Amino acid sequence: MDWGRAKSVLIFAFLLLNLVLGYQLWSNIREGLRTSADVSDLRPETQAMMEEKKIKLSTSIPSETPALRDLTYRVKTKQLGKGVRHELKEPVDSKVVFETKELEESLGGIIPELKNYALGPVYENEFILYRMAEGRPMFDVKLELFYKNQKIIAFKQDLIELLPPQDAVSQSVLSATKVVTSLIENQLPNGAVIEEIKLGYHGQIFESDIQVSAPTWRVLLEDGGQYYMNAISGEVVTE
Amino acid sequence: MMDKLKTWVLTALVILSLIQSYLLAYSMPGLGVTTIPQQDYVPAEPMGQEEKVENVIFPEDMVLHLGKGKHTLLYPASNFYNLIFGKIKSREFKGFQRSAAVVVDWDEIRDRDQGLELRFGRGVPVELLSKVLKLEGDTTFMDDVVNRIWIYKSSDRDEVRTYFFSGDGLTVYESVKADLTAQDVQMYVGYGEYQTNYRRLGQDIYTADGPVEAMQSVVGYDSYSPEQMQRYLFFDPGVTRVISDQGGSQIYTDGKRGLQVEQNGRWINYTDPVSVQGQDDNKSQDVYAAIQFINDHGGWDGMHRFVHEGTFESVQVLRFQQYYGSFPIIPQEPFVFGSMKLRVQQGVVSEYERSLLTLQKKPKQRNVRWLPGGDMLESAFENYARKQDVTAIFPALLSVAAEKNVMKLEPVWAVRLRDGSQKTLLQAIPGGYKPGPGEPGGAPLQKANQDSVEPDSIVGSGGIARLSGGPLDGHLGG
Repeated sequence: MDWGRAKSVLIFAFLLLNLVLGYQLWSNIREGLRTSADVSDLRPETQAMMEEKKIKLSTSIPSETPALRDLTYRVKTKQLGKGVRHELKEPVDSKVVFETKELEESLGGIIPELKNYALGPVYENEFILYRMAEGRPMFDVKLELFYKNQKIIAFKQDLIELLPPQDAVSQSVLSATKVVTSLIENQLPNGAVIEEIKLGYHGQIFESDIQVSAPTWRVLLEDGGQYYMNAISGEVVTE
Repeated sequence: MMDKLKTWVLTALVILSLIQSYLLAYSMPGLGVTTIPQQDYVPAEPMGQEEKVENVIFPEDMVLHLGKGKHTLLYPASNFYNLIFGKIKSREFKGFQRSAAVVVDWDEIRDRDQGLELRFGRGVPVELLSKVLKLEGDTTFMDDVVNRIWIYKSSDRDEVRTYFFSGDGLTVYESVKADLTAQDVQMYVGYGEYQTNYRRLGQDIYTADGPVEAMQSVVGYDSYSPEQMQRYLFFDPGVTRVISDQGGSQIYTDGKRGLQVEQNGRWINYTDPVSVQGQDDNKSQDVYAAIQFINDHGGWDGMHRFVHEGTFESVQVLRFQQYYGSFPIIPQEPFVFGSMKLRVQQGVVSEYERSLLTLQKKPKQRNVRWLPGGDMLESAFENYARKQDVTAIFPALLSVAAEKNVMKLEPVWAVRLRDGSQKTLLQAIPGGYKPGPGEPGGAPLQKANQDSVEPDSIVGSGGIARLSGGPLDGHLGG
């Protein structure tokens, strides 16, 4: 038996195997590093379904899957979304909302805890800012800035206090690709256009001072429709 | 030399491939289950009894028209009710023809022709009714909701007509191929001869002419714990948080579902928002879903009747009315008891309200109480503040919290209002006293109406049934 030849063959075979494995590993790592995906990353079946239902995606799909846990917080204002509208004595230029620094300078003295809020959607007469928790928006806790003639004239704010996590355990969330796939296959109506996919916190609101929010993917449609998918269990709600 | 080098290279490659395989297998991002239940799955022991759709659909009451302006009412679970309903269930109803309700003069038929009405309160989808009765009709009929079945023997011709009334109040369906005979109807009506007579006040409201017998019971109850309920209702009980609301009641939530425990742990309100797709809703499917949901989450405590409360923006509100004996249980505020309420949307339950109490099979104590009839009941109704809103008068049991783990079920006359709420109209006569003719709550004296009394309406059995309704209908109806 020619040991030398056998070794050569084995070396060649293992080299090939290593190349294949290496490629797999590399593409996995690349996928993990990439911060967004698009339609072509969805399964072919899903893409076919999108074509059939005329569903469009006008945004990229985030690919992060961080480990998050649910939040418990105390509402300091009256009730979420039912705060008092405060008129500003001196209206402020509306473009400051787009610059965190300028916003803080102009309204920081008037609106409490302003630095905890970050800009969300922009509507015709108002800007919505969400309370941020660990860098992610809480979709139920809002600061509304009303504007007119490019001047911010009034605001309405939900003030909360985050409570220390009790025995909440962080779990890595479902990937946005899965969320979108499931929505396309089961939920979205024909002709829907997905405008935004964002990871944040959302919960059912009770008549209570203390509320609970779970990690949630929010998918916004162009026509104003919204879907909240629990990022741990994958259940969908529309309110 | 060369050989040694090859050996090294080969070893290195083998090790490298092993390492890569390991990495691939255990650190693949985006694969594998992310959900780790915090609490191991505990196969829960079943709570309560299971129920089928056939058993929760039955008429709220039966009105027997004895002819000549005489009427009587039968309530569920009474002998004659069961006898008649059992017979009707074995009959076939076919060949439904649609027509407008106004074509027939119902007031005339009500007073003149012998017949019976099965009244379903706010209505039952025909598709569900067909699980109980043998119905064969076209899709328009099957998709409709029926709130009354009227079977009568036409007095001019000796034939039986059967009408199903649509919930819209405008349409009726006549079953032209029903296998009921004139003898059947006569037999059914015959059961009513020895019952308390009822006088008709207004379109659909009947009040008893004499006292009606009822049972006051003191019943012990058991209670589920909120934790038990939580185990049934939550996806992963390990990740639920407990918060308390402004009223001091506890709320269990996992961020999506909510379970509010009210009334000191005796009542729960479970909410689980669903995604709305705005598609067409199938009423029967929702009822099946609701029944299955209750089977899986707490079960049934005795007999229940399905009540369709209404549809609000594609959400079906369904209620299951609990019975104790022949009478429904109504709550005495603030102690809530007696029915389960669900909101269902596209076959998914989004809200579930029920009591955590289950009544013990045997009452601790039972006493006869007589519900007043005659002029006393009539004047109570005439003087009722919201008389215009009353859609039905019926005997019911008022649930009153007594001592610890015991409740009292007091017979009362109750009214149902247009908005679906059920209120007490008149208490029973205290102490088990049965009013005789002429006494308050008793039947009217015979002498006063001598000329209107038909020979066959005088019943010797202790003054329960007296007086014909004929002349009274004349000036009280409408």
